[in-house]
Amino acid sequence: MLDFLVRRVAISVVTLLVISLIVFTGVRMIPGDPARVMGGTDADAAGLAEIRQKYGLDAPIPVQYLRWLGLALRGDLGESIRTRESVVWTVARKLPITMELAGLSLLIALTIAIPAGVFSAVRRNTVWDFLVNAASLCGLSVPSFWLGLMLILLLSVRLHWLPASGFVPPWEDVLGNLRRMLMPAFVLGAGLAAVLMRQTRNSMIEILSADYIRTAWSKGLAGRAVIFRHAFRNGLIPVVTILGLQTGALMGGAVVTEQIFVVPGFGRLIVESVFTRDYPLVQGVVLITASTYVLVNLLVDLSYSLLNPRIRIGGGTGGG
Amino acid sequence: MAGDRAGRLWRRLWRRPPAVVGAVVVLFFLGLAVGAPWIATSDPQRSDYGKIRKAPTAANPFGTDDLGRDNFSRVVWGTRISMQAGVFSILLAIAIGVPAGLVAGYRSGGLVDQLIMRLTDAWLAFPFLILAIGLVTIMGASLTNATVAIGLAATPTYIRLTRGLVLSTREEDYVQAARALGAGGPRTILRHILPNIVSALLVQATVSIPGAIIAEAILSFLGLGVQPPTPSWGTMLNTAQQFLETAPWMAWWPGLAIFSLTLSFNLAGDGLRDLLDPRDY
Repeated sequence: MLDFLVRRVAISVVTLLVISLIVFTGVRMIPGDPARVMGGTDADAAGLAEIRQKYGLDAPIPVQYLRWLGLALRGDLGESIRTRESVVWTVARKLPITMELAGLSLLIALTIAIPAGVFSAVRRNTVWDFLVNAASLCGLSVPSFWLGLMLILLLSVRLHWLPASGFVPPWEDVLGNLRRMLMPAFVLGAGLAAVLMRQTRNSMIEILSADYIRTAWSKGLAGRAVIFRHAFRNGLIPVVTILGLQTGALMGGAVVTEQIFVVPGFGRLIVESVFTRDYPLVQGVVLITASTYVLVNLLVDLSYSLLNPRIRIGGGTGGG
Repeated sequence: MAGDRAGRLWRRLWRRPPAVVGAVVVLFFLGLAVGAPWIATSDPQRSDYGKIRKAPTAANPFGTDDLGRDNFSRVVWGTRISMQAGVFSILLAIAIGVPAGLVAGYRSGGLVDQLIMRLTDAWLAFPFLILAIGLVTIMGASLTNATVAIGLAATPTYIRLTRGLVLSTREEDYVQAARALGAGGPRTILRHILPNIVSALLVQATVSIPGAIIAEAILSFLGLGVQPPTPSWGTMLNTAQQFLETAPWMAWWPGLAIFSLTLSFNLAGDGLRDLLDPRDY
């Protein structure tokens, strides 16, 4: 168990270091004077000199990297060219909005996917199973931004049920906030629901044909008890793993969804910063997203090892 | 013997109508992409200020856009862009990912393998779209750069897949036999391992091409891919968003095109996976 934990954490640390190297190299590949890149075109000579000194731009590249990494670890990712506010602060202010969006879409995805997936596995090869599969395939294939546009067209333009865009903080108006978040959350959750549905169905089918389930059936246990008490709990483990791996897709999807529904979150921030060539902000957002992904998956793996006795007792054999 | 095999293949294909339909639709779009100049004869970039945002008519079956351009022409020509971006980005991912995965898998546990895999892990941590956005920021917005960015973002999947396939194939008896007969590393990889993992890679490609097509549309939708006035489904939807209330047809067709193309690729890919799965015999 301890072995597995240490190994898993060590791999994550190495991955984070490689990520920082990639981001550092990426920013250095932007043509032009690095001080100019970080300071913006309207930075004066004094500003440029300050940046040069802060990042040690006269030192050899490896030293520059270490210096940059040290600053990043202390939470200093530089400041936005456009607003002159610190990158970390700018991101921290936008993040809760995206987290609300992501949380709601996760909720929607799970509410749709888990029951549908279990149902379709239990009723395998029936019309219901076929319908669930078709829905999941459509969810995988539909471009989220088009789904968003079509929903706006139907629910806002035609039926006037929901506002097409905008954002109200929940502490000002809870209902107004939810009304504006419903469509974006559904659009962001649809793709995730499709993936989770497939995964739930597949793992339930596999579990339902396992020996211990056959034993449970033959003991004369009621169908519901077998499915929920015995199969469901084990069938959910791979679903949790997939969920962790999907955080990346969720964060990427938020970029597009926020753009369509004009939600002022993290995703809109990155698109705006690309267009205004706000390199420190792009760098910060990319670095934070990738690190979040690594940490979320580390947590998923750790909780998974706590959930699954085979890994816990087996001393990390399942950790590979 | 060969005829028998073809017959069996045909029968197995016939048992999966969705896959056949998917393949036919993909071929249909391929036809559109190749035959665009003959199918959509009106210039997709020519504005007609007398026909701004007109609803579909016989002359303009998909209506016209905000500059009075024929939407039908633009959707047909947009097929080229989407197909190009989808296919070339995945070819790039395969060209980098497969050799790297072959080496990592064959030398598994070694320094090169460790190096490649740690880089792959880190690369995979960047969400597909965020990575593509980051790369386009560095390289500048254009179709070529978007294609390269999507290809690079898809590469780690191929490295991992290839490595995993090599690891399982390497232990097979026929590979061991080849090694025992004195075949060297490169020969074993190219003659004995690669041919046996090609089908799995092919299936992965049919699954990742629709993903790449959507990614290109998203980048163009955000203004980070194809630049106007070149007709692309993503840029068309970007413009359409501003006129949803007055000209909804501008949003219908490009989106429907992306949806049906990606759905068909997925259907065909599912069918191909079943077809190539040797356990099914």
